[in-house]
Amino acid sequence: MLHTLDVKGEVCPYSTVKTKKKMKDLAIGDQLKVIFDYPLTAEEIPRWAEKAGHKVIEVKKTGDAEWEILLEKAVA
Amino acid sequence: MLESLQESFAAMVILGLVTGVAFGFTLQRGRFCMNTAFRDILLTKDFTTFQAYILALLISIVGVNLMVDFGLIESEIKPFNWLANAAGGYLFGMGIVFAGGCASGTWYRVGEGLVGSMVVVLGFAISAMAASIGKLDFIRKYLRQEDFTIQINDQAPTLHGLIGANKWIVIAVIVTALGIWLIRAQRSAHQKGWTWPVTGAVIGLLIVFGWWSSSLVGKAEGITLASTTASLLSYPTVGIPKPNWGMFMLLGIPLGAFISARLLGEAKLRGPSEPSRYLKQFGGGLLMGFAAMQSGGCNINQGLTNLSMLSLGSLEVILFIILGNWTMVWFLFLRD
Repeated sequence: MLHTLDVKGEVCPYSTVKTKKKMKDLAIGDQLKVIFDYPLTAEEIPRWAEKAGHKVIEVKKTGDAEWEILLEKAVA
Repeated sequence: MLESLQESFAAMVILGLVTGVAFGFTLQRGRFCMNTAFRDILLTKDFTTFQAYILALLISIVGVNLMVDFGLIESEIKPFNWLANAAGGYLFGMGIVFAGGCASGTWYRVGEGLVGSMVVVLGFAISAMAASIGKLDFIRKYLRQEDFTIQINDQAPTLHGLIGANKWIVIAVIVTALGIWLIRAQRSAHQKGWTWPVTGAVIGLLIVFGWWSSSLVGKAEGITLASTTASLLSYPTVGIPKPNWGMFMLLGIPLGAFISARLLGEAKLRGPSEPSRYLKQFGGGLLMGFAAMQSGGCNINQGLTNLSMLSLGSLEVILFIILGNWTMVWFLFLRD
């Protein structure tokens, strides 16, 4: 199942912390699309996700100061 | 020629702006923020930005001391106001968590168009002005009095002075130990901006350049972001201080960051959707400005510009900034 989390306007660590929380509620195999506008988040979320054991499927710049990350929950 | 430079207003404006624009550009490219650096160690066990800071520190230590030895600038050691440094550093470290950025992080994000950071700057400037030339200056005077100041042989203490060793031996030990740690450190992953070695190297060189460039057109002070933030408010409101290199350097930072962000397609006016967040950031700014006036400088001034002179007081400030940061990160994000 695909979930979406919009953290536009948020800076670190709020964007990462909110992503962490949301991932907790997902079932293994679920995907989460995170939408944000803060440059550092494009580096922080993937680094955190990999360390936590999740899959980073895609990090994409979608526009002027706008990004999307697609994660897949791989561990409980 | 050098003497006429000292008198030249245009040279001061240009050298200040050039230093600031280069610094702001680099901060944005490297996403260099000490709140990020210290916080991520605790919150995500990530050392990337901290590694950039350590590399910048090593390069500035070597560069600044070479310049001192070649007579290009004079060695200036920050006083060891143990109480003010500890209290100010600790409060500053807590403030940057609320503000969502340290002094350098906040100023470069202004250039990216983050409205929350602009609010931080406002709070910072107001309280720094109150605590340095306003009604709150008695606190700083009390905390920084002689009774709470430690000197060794009538001088402000340095690392090498404390150990009683030659400056270059101490530097060699520091560079070797931290250098080995950096070489074995993690590579950059998922980098969109500059990698940490590039960011650290350029920041370090700019700290050295800042000392030199400020010395050409006035008193050598190097890159500093706290007192200058206060000056940008106090000059238009009450007419002091006289415009100086540091004020133009500071104006250059958001400008350089904007140029960098614009080129990367990362510049846009934006901010948190919850109104309470702005209040929190304003409060963070107030805390930072007040605290930096107690500790004798922000994270850049104490943590790089003056720590590069191996001043013991600066080391104390940056250690307390880290402690304050970790306290608040734990309190806000890790408690449950």
